[in-house]
Amino acid sequence: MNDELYEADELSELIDRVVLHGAETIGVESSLDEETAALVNDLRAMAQDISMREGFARELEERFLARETVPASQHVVGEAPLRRFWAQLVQSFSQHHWATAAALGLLLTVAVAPLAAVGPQPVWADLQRLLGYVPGVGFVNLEDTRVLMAPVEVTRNGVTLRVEQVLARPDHTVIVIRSEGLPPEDQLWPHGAREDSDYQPRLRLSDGRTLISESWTLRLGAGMLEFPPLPADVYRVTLELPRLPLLPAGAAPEAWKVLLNLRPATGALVAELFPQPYAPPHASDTHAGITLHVLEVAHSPQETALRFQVQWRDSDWEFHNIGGDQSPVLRDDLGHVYLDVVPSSSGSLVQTKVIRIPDNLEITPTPTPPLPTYEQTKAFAPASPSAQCLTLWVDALEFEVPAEGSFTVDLGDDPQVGDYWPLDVSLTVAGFPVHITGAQLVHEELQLRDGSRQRTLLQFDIGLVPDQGDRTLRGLYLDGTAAGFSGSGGGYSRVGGLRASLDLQEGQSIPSGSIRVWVRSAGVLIRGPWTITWTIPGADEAGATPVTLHPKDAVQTRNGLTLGVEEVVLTDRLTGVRVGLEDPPPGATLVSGLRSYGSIRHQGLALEDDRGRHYDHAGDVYWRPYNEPEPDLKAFVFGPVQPLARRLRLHVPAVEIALPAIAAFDVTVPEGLTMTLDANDVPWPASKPWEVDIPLRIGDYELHFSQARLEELNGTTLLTLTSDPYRPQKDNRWLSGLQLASVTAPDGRAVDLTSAFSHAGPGEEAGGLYQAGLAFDVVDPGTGTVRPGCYHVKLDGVTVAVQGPWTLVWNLRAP
Amino acid sequence: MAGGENDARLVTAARRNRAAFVALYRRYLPRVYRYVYRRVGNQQDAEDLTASVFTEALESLEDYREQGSFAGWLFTIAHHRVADHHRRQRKKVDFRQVAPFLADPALDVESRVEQKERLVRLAATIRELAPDRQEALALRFFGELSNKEVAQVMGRSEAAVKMLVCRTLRQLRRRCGEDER
Repeated sequence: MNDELYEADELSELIDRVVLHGAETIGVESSLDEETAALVNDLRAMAQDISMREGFARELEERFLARETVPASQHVVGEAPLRRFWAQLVQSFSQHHWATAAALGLLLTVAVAPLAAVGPQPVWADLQRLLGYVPGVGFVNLEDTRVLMAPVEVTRNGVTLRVEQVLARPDHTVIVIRSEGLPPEDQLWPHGAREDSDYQPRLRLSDGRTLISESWTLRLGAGMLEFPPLPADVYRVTLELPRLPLLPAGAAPEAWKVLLNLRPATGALVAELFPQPYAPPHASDTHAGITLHVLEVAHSPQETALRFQVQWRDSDWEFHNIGGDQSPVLRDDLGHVYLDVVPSSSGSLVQTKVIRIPDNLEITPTPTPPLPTYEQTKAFAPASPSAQCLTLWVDALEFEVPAEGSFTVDLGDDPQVGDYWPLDVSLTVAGFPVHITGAQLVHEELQLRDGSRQRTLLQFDIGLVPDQGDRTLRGLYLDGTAAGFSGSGGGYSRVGGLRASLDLQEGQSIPSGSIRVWVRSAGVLIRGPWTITWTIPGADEAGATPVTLHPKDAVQTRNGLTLGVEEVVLTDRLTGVRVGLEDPPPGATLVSGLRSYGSIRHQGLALEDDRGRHYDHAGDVYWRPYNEPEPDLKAFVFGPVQPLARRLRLHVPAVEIALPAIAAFDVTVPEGLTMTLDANDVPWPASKPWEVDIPLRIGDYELHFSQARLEELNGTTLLTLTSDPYRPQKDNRWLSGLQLASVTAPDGRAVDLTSAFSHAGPGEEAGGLYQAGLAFDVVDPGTGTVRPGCYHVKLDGVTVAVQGPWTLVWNLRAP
Repeated sequence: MAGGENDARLVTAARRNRAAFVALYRRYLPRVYRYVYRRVGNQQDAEDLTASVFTEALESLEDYREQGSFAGWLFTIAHHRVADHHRRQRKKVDFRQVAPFLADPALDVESRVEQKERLVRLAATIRELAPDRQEALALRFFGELSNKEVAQVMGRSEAAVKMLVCRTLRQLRRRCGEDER
């Protein structure tokens, strides 16, 4: 055993050296054999061999950069300022008085109402009935289409292959398949997987001819297969699959054959088979001359799909994106907020494929030409069967707008990667005053699947560009082809400003001397919001309202805090639970319920019923009744409760509370500090740190701020104070932040605390030590420069994380 | 390896500033992607899941009160996302799909072929390991986590992880040796 421990230690050190510290290939170690060393090297090589698709990192980064930053309240420092809009919507229930007459029985009835029953009754004319929404495919015109009347399936040796739908259209044939009863996943590849490339489904016609699938989207045992169009008058074909999708040889029965009998799509058949789209009347909103129309809506158990159209005036503009800082959302009259469904890799074309409906079938009276238009289909989480109205909310639309302008950069005689050229170039781009402050030659290594590729960029930093009315500049597209650059990128700089870049053409040497750069276009965000509300056809006007409960006895005391369930909202799409403190300590307020504590996550916050059913955190729908402003961090949202549930149990791992406490101190910002970029520390400009000596006793906590520095964040300069590492006083309760009451600048004026924040928590990987930080703005709003001198800081409280867990139980039915 | 102290600063800043979150994202993207790719075995799912891991991290940043490291917290999210994915898809990872196994270009042709064959064999052998052993290897080598961080993700003690990895490597070594014979 000692040998094993010794070996484990040796191996661990070796792996750390290779994996964590990037050591080169290792040789035979003193006590480790050659095979082990080779094995570690090989595992490392395998890991390093995984590379990302070109552009993935940047695409994802831009998505994150496009999210909003929510200013923190100065009295809730350390609290979730950076959140996705829709993650905030678990809302205060207290201000919204739901009709309480709704009986629980009604709720339970609603909860089990099949979602398939959602949506409108057929309201279209016969011609319009040929328009259908096929989940996973999109809005399709089923004119001249042969379809499968009902799913058909074949079962062999316990494995079922089901053909869910066939759309034999004039231009191609689509078949949606799924299988069940596959072997457990750990038995599927005992001897290695086959290559997928020889997957070759066929359609065999009655005369023996076959059609070979042109393309497909596969999941394990399922897929959407595309074939050439069927010959006219063919209504009977056989689907032949050599193997179920993605299954290795021998894992399941093979050589599948399924006979498919098709029927011509008629209005009645389409209405029966597919969710019926409807065209909401007058469903449009216009801002800044840009109109957003909702053309079609379809409800299915999987999603609510919208086909929308953007129409604008200037034919030189090009539509780029729906949604600005926030993703578009769909809301209903009950208070649900439905998020857009992240495109699954299940082959759904809902978000990527736009199927044009012929003009003679257009369901909107809005004329399209000559105004430029853009159409897209977008899917949201399925709407509640109880909803009567839906509202599409879009905060902004982004366009690429032509721009003119140019400037020169003198790169000198021998420009090198890393060189930086300060610039002072002022331009007007698409109506925005743009100030280019510098350029830098940067070398990047792109990780590609077939290896890495090097490239050189000339990056331009752009000062903060003020909005022009309802317009925000999102990016510049530059042209430097004359100097050997190709392409143009963009993004945000490290301080939150814009950045534009030029790629050096491959094989091209870095140009020297003066080069001219042209501004060709700009990404411009037009802010609305666009709000479009419509009534769901066929919805019951006396629809059910969500049930609200106020359980009396769902309380528990842990670590000196009594937590209770204040309100429960039960709908057919979610369960919302808001917690609160009962008899809190003097001055204490509950800031938030915490979903995790320590390393417990996901399992930490839990809701289950008396039948042992576990309800997951609702991921695609939130609860936020209309007109309620900020999110309530004390509320959680789970999936809808099952009708047979009698009792619910909520497990809350921890909470964060705010406690009053008083403290004050002075800190001095020296003169002459310079800001530099240091990639090894923080990734934005910062000054060299300087030592401070600020002992702080606040509430039950003692800190010592020992380091200060200036950091440029979000277009301003913050003084950041960092404490010495400290050991938390108690395992079940620790300081999570400081609450700033005021900061007085050296000139006696009050500092705007909008940008201020504080956080305390684990500061180092080893040793379980914590650190606290505090930051506030030190820029003189009059001059835009840092105000050196002595700042007087007053604190009026702390936030503290308190470990539970609290288990809160309440009945859903009267005893 | 990126230090936990810097992570803590970045997390603090990221609560206020999207650029700071991007710094965290840049720091951990390759590691998370490799780990996820290793576990799901194809680019499309790896991209979707990696995006969802960082999205959840961004959304949950206010919940981050870890006593362990940020890396451990982030990979716990990844761990659960991958598990959810497998539950949903009932899909087994094909370890051989993990990468085309580019052999070290510094080696001569014969050695490169040999190395490639060895890696393919190793991948097949790994696939036959118990799930927890595969997971430990993925976190340690592909996610580049320390024993302590792996322990945080897997809910085990650091010593248990150290021993698990050691035994896994010993098992691999033995099986690879058997294959060669």
